[in-house]
Amino acid sequence: MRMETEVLMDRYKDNLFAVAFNVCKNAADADDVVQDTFIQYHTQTRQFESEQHIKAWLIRVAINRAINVTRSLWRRSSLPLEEYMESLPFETPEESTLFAQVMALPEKYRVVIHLFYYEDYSVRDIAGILKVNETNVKVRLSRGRGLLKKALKEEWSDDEP
Amino acid sequence: MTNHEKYKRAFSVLHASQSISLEEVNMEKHTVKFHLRPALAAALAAALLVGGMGAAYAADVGGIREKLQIWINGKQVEAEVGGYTEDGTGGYTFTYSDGEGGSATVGGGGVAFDNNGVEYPLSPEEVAGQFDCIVDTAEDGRVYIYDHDKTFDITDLLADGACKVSFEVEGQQVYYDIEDNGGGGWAFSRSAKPQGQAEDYTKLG
Repeated sequence: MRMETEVLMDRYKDNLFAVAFNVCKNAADADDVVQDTFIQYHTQTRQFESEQHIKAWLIRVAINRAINVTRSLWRRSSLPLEEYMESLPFETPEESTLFAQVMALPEKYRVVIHLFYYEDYSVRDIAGILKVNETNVKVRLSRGRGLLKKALKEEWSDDEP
Repeated sequence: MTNHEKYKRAFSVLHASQSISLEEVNMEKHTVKFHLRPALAAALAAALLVGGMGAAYAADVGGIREKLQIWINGKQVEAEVGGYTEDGTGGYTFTYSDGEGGSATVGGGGVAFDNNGVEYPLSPEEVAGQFDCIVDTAEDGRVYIYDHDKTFDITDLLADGACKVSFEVEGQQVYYDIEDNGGGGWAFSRSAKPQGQAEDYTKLG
């Protein structure tokens, strides 16, 4: 199946931006990644099994593109993360602190944490998206959670499976 | 509140730019974004043009308006060189006639180091030279090698997103090792010598 690119953009551009930002830590680069990801979808004729399949594919492409951006020889000028965060409308200081602590995690933990907590993907789904094995995802998830728990203390509970 | 809920609330503040639209996507379809070839990238020190550095380079190259012959998809075209003066990335644009009454633009940039280890921005000629050899997916979904005036469709040679091919160009045999870069493009190396056995390469042309 295929879906209209415009429909997908309405539904998922913020999801792609969030995951791309998670990798790039840079809004301008993340916007480029979102646009390039939709261009890639728009210019292909590839068929998908379902909308969830399309979403997972878009997220995988966005992550790969974002990683490429962070490793490329040149990048856009951008605001430092701290300054950009000051422009974000967090409702509570705890939200801002959680955001900052996630951004302080190593990239490989950050992405897995984001896919698990923001996108509600299972370990198996994340392994499929990142093309790594499930054990690897579990290890990254566990280490990422451990670091968040250490930094956030009682603000981060131990109740996750 | 669960960790899931806390996380979602914290990250719900992130929103893509309103400037991203289908109109932009359609426009971008006609603009090829160019990135340095891995072979060149490996030869250059990994330097990022960010912040003030980018702005400084942009000032150095600003106002350039010259014409160069560049190779685009197996054809040599005359392109007008422009500097990325607006966003300060320190690269160049190359705008050429698309042969259908319109124009198309490609762009690229980067830095290199001289023999004294002093960083300098690549010249328009150096950047344009990167278009001589490209592996790209066309709008019809097929994958092509463009090397100067040679064009080869390698779609059917790709196995698990990779292939090795060889052909003669400008009187010299060249060897390509190509693989999917996982980001929608192709990573490749081009060499006058095979990496491994020459028999492993499919001869083209």
